[in-house]
Amino acid sequence: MTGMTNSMQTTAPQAQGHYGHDHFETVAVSNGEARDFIALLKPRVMSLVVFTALTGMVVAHGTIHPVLAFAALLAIAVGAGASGCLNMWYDADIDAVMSRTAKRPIPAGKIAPSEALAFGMTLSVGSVLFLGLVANWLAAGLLAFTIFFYAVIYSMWLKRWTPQNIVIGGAAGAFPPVIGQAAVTGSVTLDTVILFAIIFIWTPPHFWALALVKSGDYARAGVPMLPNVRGPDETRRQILLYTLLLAPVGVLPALTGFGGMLYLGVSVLTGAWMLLLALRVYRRREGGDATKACWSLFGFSIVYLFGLFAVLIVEHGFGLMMPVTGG
Amino acid sequence: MAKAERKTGKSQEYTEMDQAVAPPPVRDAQGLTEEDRRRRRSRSIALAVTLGLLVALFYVVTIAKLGPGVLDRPM
Repeated sequence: MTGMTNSMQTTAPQAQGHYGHDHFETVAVSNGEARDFIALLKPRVMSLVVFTALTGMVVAHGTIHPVLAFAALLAIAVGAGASGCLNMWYDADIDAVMSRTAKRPIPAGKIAPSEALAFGMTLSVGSVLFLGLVANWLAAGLLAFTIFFYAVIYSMWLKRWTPQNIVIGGAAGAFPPVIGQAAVTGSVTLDTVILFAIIFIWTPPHFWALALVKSGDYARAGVPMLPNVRGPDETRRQILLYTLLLAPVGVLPALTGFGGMLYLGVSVLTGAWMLLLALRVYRRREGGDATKACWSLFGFSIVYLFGLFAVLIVEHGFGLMMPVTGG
Repeated sequence: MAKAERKTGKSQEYTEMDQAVAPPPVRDAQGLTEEDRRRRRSRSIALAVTLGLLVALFYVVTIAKLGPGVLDRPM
């Protein structure tokens, strides 16, 4: 690796001595530690992906060897991490100007962009191949599409082009339960399509609540988030509309039969609370109250999604399923 | 004398000059500092552990996919 010039290079003193002047071959030395590479994978996003993929596996009408289930989940998690890594590689320029992301490994100078790209690509290909060998090629294909969708469609195209970026791009985060079911049964059914829909509709109010608070950051980076393009009032209206849609969709699993009484209760109560918080965001538009309302909605939206999927795992995984519609 | 001067015999101004012209880090024959070597060591260890776990995982997954009869072979 000669002739490369970046801030992380060191100069071999023996080369300096040999050539006797400043223009000598330089050696590129990686600066990253293991934890920096792990940070590239967005571990918090990975945990959500694992959780939702596990839900897809648990609700699937089929069985899978526990070792193969673990291996499949690992492949899905690594695939999700790989797409996060590729996103960080591509977004290093805007990450550097946003306070929320300036300390990420690439803008912080800990990992070179080329390293991150190689790391992400290797994990992408490896995770897809591994999932295909462990489970089946439908699941692997869905994982490959998810990685492509997030890294290319969302990160390289939509994010910097349209305020509907996270609406469409949210599909990437909605695929894991579908992949989980495909890994078990080799097929996709209405059950996981509903789970897909829940995450898809959940994504806009979740991220727009954050964007309302961080609109300055996104403006500096030139990212066309809805608050910057259409204004905070329109964003609040859209958050409310999406949450009005989310609440009934969140109850669908109980109505279609793969969620039981426990799920019905939790989905109704948490859906109602989400609506209340979305209404607060809609009404409180100035000052500290507005910011607080946004953070409350953002924080509870995570609890909401985890709660719904956790209840499904409990019902299906621990035999606590009490059907809503007699039978 | 100020406390710093009593301890080190140096004035604060001299200490600041020290920091401004700090000696370059010591590099080995490959041009690596101690910090570079530490980071490379941590990466190498992480990679070794990961590869070992992958080998174990591949083995266990292969056994699981081959099924329960794989260990029962006529001699």
